[in-house]
Amino acid sequence: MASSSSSSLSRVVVKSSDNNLFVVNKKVASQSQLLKQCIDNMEEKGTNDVILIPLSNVTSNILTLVLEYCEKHADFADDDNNNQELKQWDHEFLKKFDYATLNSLTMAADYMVTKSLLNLCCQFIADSIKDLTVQQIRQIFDIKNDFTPQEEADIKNENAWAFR
Amino acid sequence: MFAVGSAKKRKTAADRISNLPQNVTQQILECLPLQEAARTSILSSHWKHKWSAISQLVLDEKFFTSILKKNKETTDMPLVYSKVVNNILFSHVGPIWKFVLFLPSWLPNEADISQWIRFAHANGVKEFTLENARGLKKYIPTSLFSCKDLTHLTLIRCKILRLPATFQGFPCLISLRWKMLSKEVSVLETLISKCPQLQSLCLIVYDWESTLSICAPKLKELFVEGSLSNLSMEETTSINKLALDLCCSKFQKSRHMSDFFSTLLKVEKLILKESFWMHLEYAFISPPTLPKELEKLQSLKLVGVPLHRRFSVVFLLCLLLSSPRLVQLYIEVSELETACDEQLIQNDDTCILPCLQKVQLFGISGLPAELQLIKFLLACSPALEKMSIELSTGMGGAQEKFNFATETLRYRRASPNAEIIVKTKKLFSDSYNFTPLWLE
Repeated sequence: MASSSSSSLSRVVVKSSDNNLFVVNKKVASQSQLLKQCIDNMEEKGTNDVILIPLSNVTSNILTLVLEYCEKHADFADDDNNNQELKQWDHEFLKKFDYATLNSLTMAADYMVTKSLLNLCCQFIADSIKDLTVQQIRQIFDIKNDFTPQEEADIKNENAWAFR
Repeated sequence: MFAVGSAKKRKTAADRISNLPQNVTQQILECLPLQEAARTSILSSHWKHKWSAISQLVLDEKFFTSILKKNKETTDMPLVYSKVVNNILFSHVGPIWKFVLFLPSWLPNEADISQWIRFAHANGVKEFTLENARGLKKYIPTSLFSCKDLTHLTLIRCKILRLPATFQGFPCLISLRWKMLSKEVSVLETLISKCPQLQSLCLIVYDWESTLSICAPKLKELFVEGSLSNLSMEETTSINKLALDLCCSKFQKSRHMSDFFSTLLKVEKLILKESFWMHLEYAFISPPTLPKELEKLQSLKLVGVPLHRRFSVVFLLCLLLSSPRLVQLYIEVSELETACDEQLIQNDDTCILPCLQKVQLFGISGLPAELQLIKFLLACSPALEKMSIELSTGMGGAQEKFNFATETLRYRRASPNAEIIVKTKKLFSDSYNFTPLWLE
């Protein structure tokens, strides 16, 4: 049956920065505000062609992960009773990654405007550095300390309340 | 030369987490307790000032306790605490979106508190939480009422004697949460009437003697916990989500109960929790149906329903039969008392729940009233897709469960697609920590 709007697509094609194509269900793609915006714009124009959305900042590895997340969340979108199950899934999902992947995933979530994934990643990163020492955080995230010992002492002094 | 070299070095030093966009690092810092966030200032020059730009300042009870722990030896805690807060506020750069302030029982200097609130206001605070320590008798500083830009306000154990005469209202406020108020019902009513945009209201109120009349034309979500004499919402007709964990002494009278539910014409989600049921007395006579149907009601969640009591069964039926569009039903049975064998639910062919698709029952132990309810729901729901029944831990052995399953299998189902799932309660099952999503 023809839908009431001028055109309505069920699938879109997303291209990663390394030129791999992903066919994505519209409901899944809509989890990303960036993709949703593209789809809405095209639909407004009334195109019936398949939409190709190139993502110049996201590699296929990372895009696969973002889409896995979107697919799961699209499945649960209409069901507000299984949020515990979904939370559990989210946690297991992120636990698998090393910090480099987590970082790229966070960037992709930000770029693709997948707000709930971005929140999740930020919370996860925050939780994982919460109880670490400054040294450990520097090590994990490969942050080079460019302070002199004097500068470091000064900062500690300025915010003495925050340091043990 | 040295300076240039060092700047270059600093630039390349940024790695992994450091090259995340500014808004993302800020969000990560906002997920950390304030002290942890401040501690990142020492990571590298790239991080030095990041924390002072976060738009959420959470000085909550946890924060306060940790400051207290670190300064066990000090004799002048109010001074130390004021200094810490001043230090944080003075090093802050940029807007403050959210400000959470806990006031310990020995209350720092009142002038300081007013100053902190004014500082937050000057930096455009939108979401403000003020929490009084337990047992604190002091009234909250009036400077709060000059924060005209607030969109979200949370007051915990805050006492307000009266609103300042100059108070113009909070023109942008969309969400108000006030936990633990008792003598302030009339202050609350005035406050609500001065917040024309209010959409969400969450109250924990204990005042047996007062009637709370809510007059908020744009209110969409309401949650009330505690006790009141009566709750009236005559001017408030847009509510679509309502949760009550409240005992209203006037609701004992069928007329008041009917009046109340008659104002809920737009409600789509309704939640009635323990206190609502517990305080209905045996003398309560439920109307058979409500005078006006709950036309929009799609999701009904009932927690702690004493199914062994006649009035609650009758009222449950009254709700079901007055909700022709109901799609989802969730009932958690109270496990407190023993059964009564009276035949409370009669199946009758005229009852029909045409839209009901999903039923979840919890805490079922196979009592007659429960079986009658299951039988009734199966027979009256032609669109039913799924009924899941979680058995109570108090149910006894395998034989008893088997008997229950065979019994429910026999019942006629109006829907050819109905799937019935019987499961035993998992220990620490999440369903018992039930909070509706929209209240989080």
